Amino acid sequence: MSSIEIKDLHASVDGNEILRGLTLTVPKGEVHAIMGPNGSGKSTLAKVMAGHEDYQVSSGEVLLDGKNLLEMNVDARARAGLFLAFQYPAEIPGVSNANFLRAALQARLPEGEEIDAVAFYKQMYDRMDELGIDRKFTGRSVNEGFSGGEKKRNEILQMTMLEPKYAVLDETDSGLDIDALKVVAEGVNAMRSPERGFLVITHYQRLLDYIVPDHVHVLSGGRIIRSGDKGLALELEEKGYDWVKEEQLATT
Amino acid sequence: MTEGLLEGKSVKRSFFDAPEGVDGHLPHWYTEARTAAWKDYEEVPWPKRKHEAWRFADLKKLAFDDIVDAAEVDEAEGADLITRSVALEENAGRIIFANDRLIADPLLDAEFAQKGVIFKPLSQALVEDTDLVRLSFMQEPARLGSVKFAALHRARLRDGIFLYIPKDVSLSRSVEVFHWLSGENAAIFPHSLIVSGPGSSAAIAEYIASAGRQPGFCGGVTDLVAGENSRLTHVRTQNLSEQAHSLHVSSSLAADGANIRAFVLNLGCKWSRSESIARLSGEGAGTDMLAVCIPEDSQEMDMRTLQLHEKTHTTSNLLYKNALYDEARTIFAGLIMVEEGAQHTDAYQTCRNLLMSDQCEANSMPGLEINADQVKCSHGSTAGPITDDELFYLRARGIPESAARQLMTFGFVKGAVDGIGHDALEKVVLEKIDRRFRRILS
Repeated sequence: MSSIEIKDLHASVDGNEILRGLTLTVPKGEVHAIMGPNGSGKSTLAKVMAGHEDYQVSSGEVLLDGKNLLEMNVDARARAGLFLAFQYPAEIPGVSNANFLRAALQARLPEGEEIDAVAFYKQMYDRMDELGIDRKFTGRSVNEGFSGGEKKRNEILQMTMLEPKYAVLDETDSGLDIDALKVVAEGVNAMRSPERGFLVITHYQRLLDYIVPDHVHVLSGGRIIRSGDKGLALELEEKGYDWVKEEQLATT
Repeated sequence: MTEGLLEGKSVKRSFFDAPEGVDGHLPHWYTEARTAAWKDYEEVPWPKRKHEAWRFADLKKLAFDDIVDAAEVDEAEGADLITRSVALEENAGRIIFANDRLIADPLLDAEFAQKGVIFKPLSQALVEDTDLVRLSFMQEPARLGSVKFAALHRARLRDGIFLYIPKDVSLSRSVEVFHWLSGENAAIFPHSLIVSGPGSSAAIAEYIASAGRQPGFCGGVTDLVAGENSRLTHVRTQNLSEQAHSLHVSSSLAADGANIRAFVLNLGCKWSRSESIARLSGEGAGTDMLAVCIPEDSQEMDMRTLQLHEKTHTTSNLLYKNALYDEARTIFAGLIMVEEGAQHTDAYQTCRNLLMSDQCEANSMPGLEINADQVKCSHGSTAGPITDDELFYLRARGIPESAARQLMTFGFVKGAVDGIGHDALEKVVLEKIDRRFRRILS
């Protein structure tokens, strides 16, 4: 029950089926990596889980601790404990980081209850210091004019503030230099706990040197074609995605 | 008197009657000009939509019947309006009018009165400080289309305020003016004349609002005259009844090194038009022109602006933000004019429209006329809805859709409010905006 369970998920965008029977379980306390070539459905999986309206689910289930996520709207999924770190975080002009985080936390409180502003700011500043985010960013509009690295750090800041049960990191490494990658990975590693599950989506093995996964899955053609331990990522890096695809063909 | 304001077939005229006479103790120059203004009003033709200055304007919406000069409010209503005249937590003084008549004693902290600050009803200043008033009273022609209405204002003006800050005096707290409009089809003509001496600084807020939901008319004029190296901040909020009409003509004149910030918030009125002229007549003068309009239902808000650069090293920054709901309309027509010899001008003009429905309509007509070669000018206008990507991002953090929209809309208009650069005044404006959004969304 304490897991995200994806069962035989089929999803399409603009009439093209992208996910074709994807099955995967990420128990709490584990970090699972999904690797796959371009077009394999990695980002589609992240968006479908979060509830993006451009994607239609035709069959299958996504259960968060036994609750069917697919029956919830976007914001209810987030409040149920799911967090998606975006590959391309949107810029929200006029809404400051502080007000944004505050609204997100406020949305998780029972009606009539108000956030303790002092405690909120203290927590936010502490987390920003840990992630090496300048405190002046609190007053700046969410992601507006941020560099690629700043945006990704901001995603991790949001994750640490919202303390989700499960986090999906969609190509968090894309566009990051090695220093920014380390900071982001440290932020994720600090969040690892027996009470939290991670699904790390990436194209390259590099990120997994810093966020070491418990399991690695290869996504191709909209389904998991191979699973293994962290060694699989290294093998992929060495032999390329064609290797698993060929192996897959040989065995089917 | 019962005939409508528009001429034409089915449309009748109002203000047919000459305005009532004014007290005999007012200075001759003033009463003479007042009489002449009535003649001007009668002679100047009614605006037509084919005039460039009235393009896109729905003149039919300006047609309204039975407008009458506002009558004095009774004591009970006056007392009620006084209790409603609350905005800043701290001010340096305040004056409250209902239907262009004082309903409470004007207040000005002794500290500032001793320094020579004048803050009093215009009717009083016309007698007591007549030379000072005369120097700046309605000196700026209404160049943006409302010559007729400026004349109407001058002819029917009953009262308003005069604020004068002497040389090198700094008014550390803002002063406030409340104008209440009350009564069926009542018309008011509030006037504000604000003059800052060299090196002085001041901030003033003007709140124009209806006492109830009745139709009415407000034809106001605000003139800011900033002396050398002085700083003026002016905030005007218009929260008249949604049945009311408003036509406000504003001007600012900035001498060498002077800096003027003028902010307008438009919330009420079936139809409102605001004309703002910023004249940079001194070297190194600067101005910020800021506005937020939040129309809903079928409200029309029409903003016409002119940034007039007359001297070198002058700077102007215009930022207007409109959030439109339902079938609301906005019109923005802005011109940056750089006169010959006004080298090293920096002039910017931005009008942004956030479309919160499919039926609303935002019209923008930005313009540039540059007669100097070493200038930096830009203008731009945008119109669009909150994007799906933005909305998805906020919702993916657990913020419900309605709260997400409110957060983004508030954030959108806040960008213009931030330009006021005065925390206490920004707070007052943001509270009004917040109440507005809550009402629209409820």
